[in-house]
Parts: sequence; C-alpha cells; structure tokens
Amino acid sequence: MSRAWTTFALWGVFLAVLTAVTTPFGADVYTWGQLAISAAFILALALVVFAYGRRAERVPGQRVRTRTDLSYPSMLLGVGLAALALGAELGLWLVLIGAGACVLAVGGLVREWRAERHAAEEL
Amino acid sequence: MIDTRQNYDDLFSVYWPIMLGVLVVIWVLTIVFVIRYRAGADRPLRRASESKLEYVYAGSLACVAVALLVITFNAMSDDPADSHPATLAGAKLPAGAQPVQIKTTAAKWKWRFDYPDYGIAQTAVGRAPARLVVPAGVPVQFEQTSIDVIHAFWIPEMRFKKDAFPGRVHRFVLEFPKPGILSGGKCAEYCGLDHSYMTFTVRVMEPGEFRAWAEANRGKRQ
Amino acid sequence: MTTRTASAPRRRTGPIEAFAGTDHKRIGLAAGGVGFAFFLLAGLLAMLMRAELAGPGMQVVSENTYNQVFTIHGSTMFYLFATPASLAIGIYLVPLQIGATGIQWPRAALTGVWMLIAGGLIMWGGFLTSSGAAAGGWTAFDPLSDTPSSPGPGMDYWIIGVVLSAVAATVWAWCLLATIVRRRTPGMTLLRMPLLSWGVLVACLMVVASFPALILAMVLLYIDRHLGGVFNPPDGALAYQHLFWFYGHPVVYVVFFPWVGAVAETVATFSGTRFFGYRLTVLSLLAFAALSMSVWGHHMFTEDAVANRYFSLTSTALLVPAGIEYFGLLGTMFRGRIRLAAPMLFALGFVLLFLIGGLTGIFVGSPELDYHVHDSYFIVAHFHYTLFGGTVFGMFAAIYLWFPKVTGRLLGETLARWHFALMFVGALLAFVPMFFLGHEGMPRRVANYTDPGNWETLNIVASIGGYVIFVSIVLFLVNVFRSLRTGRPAGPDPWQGQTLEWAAPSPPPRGNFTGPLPPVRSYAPLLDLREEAAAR
Repeated sequence: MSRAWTTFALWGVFLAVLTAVTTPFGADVYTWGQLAISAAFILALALVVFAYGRRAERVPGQRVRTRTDLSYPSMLLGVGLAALALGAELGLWLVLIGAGACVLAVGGLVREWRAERHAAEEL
Repeated sequence: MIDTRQNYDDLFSVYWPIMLGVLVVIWVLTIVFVIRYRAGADRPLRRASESKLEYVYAGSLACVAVALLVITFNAMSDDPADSHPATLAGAKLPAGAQPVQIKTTAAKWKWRFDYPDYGIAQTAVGRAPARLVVPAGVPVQFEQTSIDVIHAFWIPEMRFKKDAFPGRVHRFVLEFPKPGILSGGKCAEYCGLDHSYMTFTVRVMEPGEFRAWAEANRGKRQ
Repeated sequence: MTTRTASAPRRRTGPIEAFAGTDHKRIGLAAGGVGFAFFLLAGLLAMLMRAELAGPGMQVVSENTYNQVFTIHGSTMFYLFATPASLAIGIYLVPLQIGATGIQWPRAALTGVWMLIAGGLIMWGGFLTSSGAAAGGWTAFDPLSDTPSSPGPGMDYWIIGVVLSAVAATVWAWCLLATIVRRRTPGMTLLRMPLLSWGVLVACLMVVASFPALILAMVLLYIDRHLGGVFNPPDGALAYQHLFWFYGHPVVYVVFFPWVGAVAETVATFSGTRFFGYRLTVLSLLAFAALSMSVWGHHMFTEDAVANRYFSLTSTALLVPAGIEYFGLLGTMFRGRIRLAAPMLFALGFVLLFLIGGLTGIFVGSPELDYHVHDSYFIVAHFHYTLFGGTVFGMFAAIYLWFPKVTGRLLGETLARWHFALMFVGALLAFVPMFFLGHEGMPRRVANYTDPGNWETLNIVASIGGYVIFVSIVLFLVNVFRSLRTGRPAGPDPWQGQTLEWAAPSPPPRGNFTGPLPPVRSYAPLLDLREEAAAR
C-alpha cells in the first residue's frame, strides 16, 4: 500500500505530458481542458493515496472486520436512486417515493454499520 | 491540386501491406508456436524476461509509428479538403484560380446544392438521389452546412467525406479528375428515420459542357 | 495489517439473496450475470438487424424500428453488458488474486448492481412506449438527440438508463481502486500483482477519469431536452461530442484491459511458464491507458473542429503499447509447454481476432484514410473485431478459466471446442465482409441499402456469420447448464494455476482462503512453489 501512490502519480504524469503535447498542435480548449482536468484529478488522487498511506502506517495492528451477510438497505438505496432518476421523467410522485426509499435505505445502512461495530467490539 | 482518391490510394498502398504483413506474421507465429511447443516435450524453460530485446522491440515499434505519422502528415499538408480550424481551404488554391462555387445544404433527409453564380438550386424528389453537377479537372469550392442535425457528405468514389453541422459552415475544395457519373454519394452521419435514403449522385462534365449546362439551367430552382 | 472476518453462518441462497449479498463474490456474480443477460438480449437484437440487412429493401422491420434496434443493441452492449462485465470480473477475482478477504465498500458495490438492473430496465422500457425506444445511436449526438428530432420519452428513458449504469460503474471502479490500494496481502507489491488485476486497475483509472464526462453530457442533454439552452449552435453539438467521446474512447479500453489481463494469465498458465516481459507489459498497460484518454478526437476527424494531427499522433502511438502486449503474449508461448484446453483456445482466438481490430484501428488513425471509411461499415467491422474479438473472446477465455473456481465444476471440453470453432468462424464470416462493404461505400446505421453490385452477397455472408455466432453461444449455454449439474468436480487448482486464487477452495468460502496464504515473492506465487518443490 505504501507504494501504490506511485502508480497513480505515474499515470497522472502521462496524462500531463499528453496535455502538454497538445500545445504545438493548436488544440482547442475542449481538448486540452479535458486532458488537463483529468491529469490534475489523477495527480490529486495520487496525493490522497500518498497521504492515506502515511497515516495508515502510523496505526499498525490487527483489525477485525465484521460484515453483515445480506444488505437489503443497499438494494433499496440502488432502487431508490433509480426511482429518483426516473421520477425526473415520470413526475414528482416518483421522486418523492425514491427520496423516501433512499432515506429508509440510509437509515438501514446506519443500523448495519452500528451492528457491525458492535459485533467487532465484542470479538 | 489534390486528387483525394489518389491521395487515399497512395497512403493505402503503404498502410495496407504493413497491416497485412503484421497480421500474417502474428497469425503464422501463433499457429507455429502452438504446434511446435506442445506440452509433453522435455524442453528447458526460457527466461521470463529479456530486457534488451524488449526495449529494442519497443523502440522499433516507435519507429514504425513515426514513419506512419510522417506519411500521414505529408498526405494532409497539401490537401485543401483537410482543414484545420486555423486554415481555410480557399487559402490553398493557386493564385488566380476561379473555382466553381457550390453551397451544400443538408437537411433531414435530402441534400440541396446551390450554384450562387448561376442561381441554380437542385434537390432530391422523394427518395431519389439528389443530383450534384460539377466540372472535371478544375477546383470546385464547397460551402457546407446543415439546417437541423449533423449530416455528412460522402462521395466514396472520391474517398472524401466532410460533416455538415448546424450553425457552422465547412469549406473545402475538391477536384474531380474525370468526366462520368459517381453514383455512390451518401449521407454518412446517422440523422434519423430516412438516413438510408439521403443519397446523391455526382455528374462530372467537361468544363465546357458544365458551363453550357449551367447557362441552360440559370435561375432554375427545383 | 491482518484482518479476520467474522460473519453469521451463511443461509441458503435464493434469488433475492443472490442479489443482496455483501460477499464480493456474490456481488461480482450478480453484476456479471446481469451483464451477461444483457449481452444475450443485445445479441438477439443483432440477429434481428442481420435478418433485415441480409437483403435490400425492408423485409423484417420498419426503418423506425430498425433505428431503435441498432441504438439499443449498441447501448446495451456498452452500457449494460461490456462495462459491467469488465468490472464484475474484478469484483470477483481481484480480492482472490491479491490475497484479500473482500472488496472495499461492498455495500456501495451492491447498490451499484441494483442501479444497473434498474437502469437497464428503464432503457429497454422505451420499447414499451408508443413512440418507441431511443433511436439516436448509442452515442446520441446532439442535435439528433434533442427534442425536435427525438421527441417522446424513449430518449429520456435511455438517458436515465445510461446515467444509472455509468454511476454504478464509477462506484465499482472506486471500490476496486480502494481494494487494490488497501487490501493487498503482505508481500503483494503492485509489481507482483497478476495481470488480470493490473488490467482491472488501469480500467478503473480510466473509469474514474472519464466516466464523469459521460454523466455530465447525459445530465446536460436531459436539461437541454426539457429546458433548452445547453447545446446551442454554433458549438453546442461539438461540445457534446467532446464530452461524449472523452468518455467514449476510454470506455472501449475499459472493456478491453481486464480481458487482456485474463488472456495473459490464460496464456501463461497453459504455456506452463510465467508471463514473458511482465514489467514492460505493466508499464505499457499504463501508457496504453493514458494514451487512450488522449485520442478521442479521432472520432471527429471529419468535422473541421479538432486538431486532427494531434489526435492522429496519439492514435497512431497506440501501436507501441499494443505491440508490446502482443510481444509478451507470443513470448510467453515461445518455448512453452502449451496445452490447448478451452480457456487457451479462446485466448488464442482473442490474440488472432483482436489483432484485426487493432491493425485497422491504426489504419483509421490516419485522417486522410479515415475521411473515406469513417461512419461506414469498415468502422463497424473494425470495432467489432476489437469488441467481439477482444472483449467477448477474452470474456469467454476468462469464463472457461475461472468457472471451476467459481462453481467447483469444470465445463465440458467437447461442447467448449464446438463453441470456440463456431464462434471463431462466425466472427470471420460476420465481420470481414463489412470491411469491403464499408470501403465500397455502405454507410453505417442504415436500415436499408439499394445499391446494385455485391452488397447483397456480402451482407448475406455477414448475416450467416451472425447466426453461426448465435448457435455457438447456444452451445455455451447448454454447456453451462449441464456442467452446473453434472460437470466434473474441480479441485482448487485444475489448471496448474500460478496466482493466489488457485490456492482457495473451489468455490471459495466467505473470507476466500481457509489457510495461510502461500508466500508472495513474484507475480506467479504458485508457480514459484511448484518450481521450488520440483527442484528439491
């Protein structure tokens, strides 16, 4: 994990080089702009991975991971988001149903996270 | 003046043998390896990496890419039909040239060709192809646009295609080498229901014959 | 950092549980299964298209219906099949290959599965409306996709379906990137990661960098359709294409890289040696992916709008990393000990057929050549060799390779050989004629053609090829159903695999591994162990 950031950084550098190469060709703003944004984004991601790696190294030790086997709230969230999106087309009623489903789903997810943490503490 | 078909054929004559050659080499190598290196034989294992060979190979690939780019860029540089936003096709014409002007308008699902010098407008009737009439051997300057969605002006026999965009004017210059009929004109950008029927034919006439035709049809709009 | 996983004992799996599990294997199978189902549906649409195009005139459907059919065929293949499947294989296999017990953020991934299902249903729901499904092509260029030219809700459903599936893919990509960053077992440096996982890694990098452009384009298109004012002349249509193709080119590599990784592992396994030139291949994967982010303007060569020379440069440069990958594949086979089991047959099919797509891709990277063949059947042939020869053959290589791991049973070899032979011949019959059709002047996305000459013959051959492919896939499905019930049991490692997943039971339990992992000292840890044992 400590060296994963170098892969992201290398890829970001590739993208930056490809952005720079547009210059002698007189590329339009959509061309170099999208390349520049993607290069910057990936380099920022590399920075985040680097920082995370440094932080994680300072916290060694065993970690118990507990997981619920099934997660119906996750299912509901996916369907709720889809209903929200489809509601843009079919009407406010569906948007509201979707929003309600999402709220319920998030509530369920919070319960799952709490239950998992509880189980981890007991182990 | 660029003969677009000749330009294409010249490039093709380099690209095609290279592509075919690579295809044959890799297919043959693959089949030979599968036959020769079957399991069961007692054979020393090869190394998992040969750095020098790999980098030499990568270098040769880069050389091939450079060679292809050189001939590609060369083919583009003299072609007035190949525009860059910074260059207008008209700037590439020889001094004193008086190209025939044609305005091409694309719409769902017909082509319309206007000859501003003669007041002629031609379009298709029903699903029949529209008729484009041009002189042979002299530059013909097109100004092309669309009044609704994106279309594309394609004359396969000329190996040439240019999109027609709403709100934009594309200028290009073509020279049709020989008199005759080019029957394959098509719209090559999907534009909806009757995209398949948005066709045109090109009648290429001797310059004298073209002038006669233009004068005879002066002012005719159909 | 070591991890222990505790969970409640697993209940028996019904259909709902199969799509509600947080185990990465179930999520991968759900996403992959949904994707494969859409592959079959899109394939049926292709059969309809080939039936129509076999002769001039409209014999089977109307022009309007045909336009919907090719739109939903391409859209389903890209948004609902290829992208999900290419990430699903990562969701299933990456943790196993890197010695992890699961993926990062599995619940987010599970949410994504349901967004894909919903998005696909919504997109196909367009067929149920009175004005039909979207008919703007899988690219939905503005202004064709705008309200005056595409009235009716079909296009809106299509947009919503695309957004949902793209968001799902983006979520999966983030999960996989986090998994690769955080969950590798000690000793598994990135340069010891198997090539499938590397293929997934670069695919995910491209997803997170380019899919937002698609989502933005779709949202803006939806707003333009309902409120107007977004993609206005003179430059609106161009802006749309820049956004779309910035996604639209990387996506064809997203759906390629995981499978080239799978093929690389297959070739290594069935050549009995470790992959040749691993490090250069990894570097070239990264370069390949970066380049693929910079070539999108080659879809716009005929528009007088982009720097054609720049995009020709980057597009032609692609031959360098592509050639390096082929060097690795062939170098692995060189002096190997080759076994022609089913996975290897499909891997070889990939090598031979994707090549046609790759070479013709270099061809159209030359603008003067592209001016002729752009938007013709030549391009249709080109991308079907990269997508069918690449993604589909690679996918089947992966399925035949990992089916024993996933199910504990082997797929039948005889049916597999028939599947391969028919699909290979079908792929040549179906798409080679299209090169000639396009070169002779047949545009793409046409419901009808009325030209004289050999177009009818060429189209008939192509349609026959399509039907041969269809038969081959039926054989595959028969093989799967039979093998699931009565296939030969496979142990953990039926192929003499080289990577960590072959050290897990078949199928792997929750938590993946039931004992200590083999030591990881190279990118082929199990091969290392076997060679050490043989040396002793």
